[in-house]
Amino acid sequence: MKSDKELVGASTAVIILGVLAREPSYGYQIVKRVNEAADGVWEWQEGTVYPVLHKLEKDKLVRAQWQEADTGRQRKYYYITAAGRDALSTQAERWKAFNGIVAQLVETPHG
Amino acid sequence: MAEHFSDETQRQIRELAADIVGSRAADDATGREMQDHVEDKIRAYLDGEERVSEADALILARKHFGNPKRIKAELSAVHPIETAPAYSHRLLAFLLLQFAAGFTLRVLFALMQLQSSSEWFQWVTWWQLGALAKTVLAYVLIYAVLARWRKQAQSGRRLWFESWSVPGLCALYFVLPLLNKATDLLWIFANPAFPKDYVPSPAWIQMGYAYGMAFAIPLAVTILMLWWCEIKPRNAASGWRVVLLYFVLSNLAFLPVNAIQIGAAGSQFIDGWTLLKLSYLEVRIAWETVLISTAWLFLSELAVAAVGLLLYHGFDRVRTARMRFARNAR
Repeated sequence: MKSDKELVGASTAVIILGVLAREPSYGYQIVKRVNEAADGVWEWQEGTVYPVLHKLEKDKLVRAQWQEADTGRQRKYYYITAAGRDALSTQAERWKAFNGIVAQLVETPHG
Repeated sequence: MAEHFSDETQRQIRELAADIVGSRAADDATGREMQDHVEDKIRAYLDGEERVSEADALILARKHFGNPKRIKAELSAVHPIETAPAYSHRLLAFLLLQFAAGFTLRVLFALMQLQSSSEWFQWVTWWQLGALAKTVLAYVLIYAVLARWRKQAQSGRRLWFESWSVPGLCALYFVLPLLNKATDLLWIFANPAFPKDYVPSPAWIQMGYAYGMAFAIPLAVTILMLWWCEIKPRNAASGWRVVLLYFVLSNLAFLPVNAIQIGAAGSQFIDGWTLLKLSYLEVRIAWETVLISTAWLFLSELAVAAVGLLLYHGFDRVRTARMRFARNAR
């Protein structure tokens, strides 16, 4: 199944916050984790993650700092902030509610 | 693990970052971040960490295969490659076919009128119905021939007009309309007796016919030509180019005809545009009138062509949606 671009696009910010809530990461690593978790259901166009990351940084939901990665190279790591955790919590609740409503409404009626 | 990339690879990575953030900012924090990402991706591919998907493999295969244009040019030097006819050839072939269909039906109708003893037939053919039938028939004929040509081109056959040069086809197209005068001569030599009592068509029919045709013909032509030229509907620039060129050429080609003073009365009657009895030898329209009316005609044709382009685009959207629906349903 391939997901609609709009649906993936709308969920990008909350997914990024979700990934960063587990551990700080840099762009490539975030994309890799998400694509692995999506397991082919969708695949992010890699470059499109950066405008969202930078917007989150601007909104102070994440902060960034250059540091050495496991590979020994300098990478720009993103950390979720307290405001980011609040936003994630709110948005996650919304997505759950939305998901529940959609599942309820699209379920094929029987009998 | 690859630690260092070649200079060429580094240059291309930097170029990619520069495309996103601008060349001056390519080494700033954001540009550096983009470059890091691409470098990580390349390393992951090289180390086998990143799985190569079918789409990735296709990109690689295409890249390794080489520039198709260059290969095509090199292959063409060895033996002819089957290619679709160029836009210019298709456009001129369309114009020539349009003339041929119109001319054939024009002569056919003239002969039928001259030979028929039935006043009813003569009345009908002199009326707008005759011209309407002729126009519809002409476009059915054009469509049938174009469909055949398309099929032949798709099966790799070289079409007759492909062996002609563009200037040659142009010359042919500008000379052929002079043949229209032959139908006038036909009337002059046949000297038919026009019916004395015909029923003049009401003004509203004449007006409706004139405006209806002025809309329907450019619309049909635009859609038919875009289909014949196989222009992708979303490629609006190509669509406009071909449509514009078509209307310029089609209007220019009929200007020289006016320079030859053979009575146009016959053609006026055959075309059914008017029931005025004009003198055989005196019909030649003033150049100013011709140029002004051609300019107005050209502008109105372009306006209709815009509608045609939108419709063509709409057809494509519906077709694509239906195909997607059918694919998802499977």
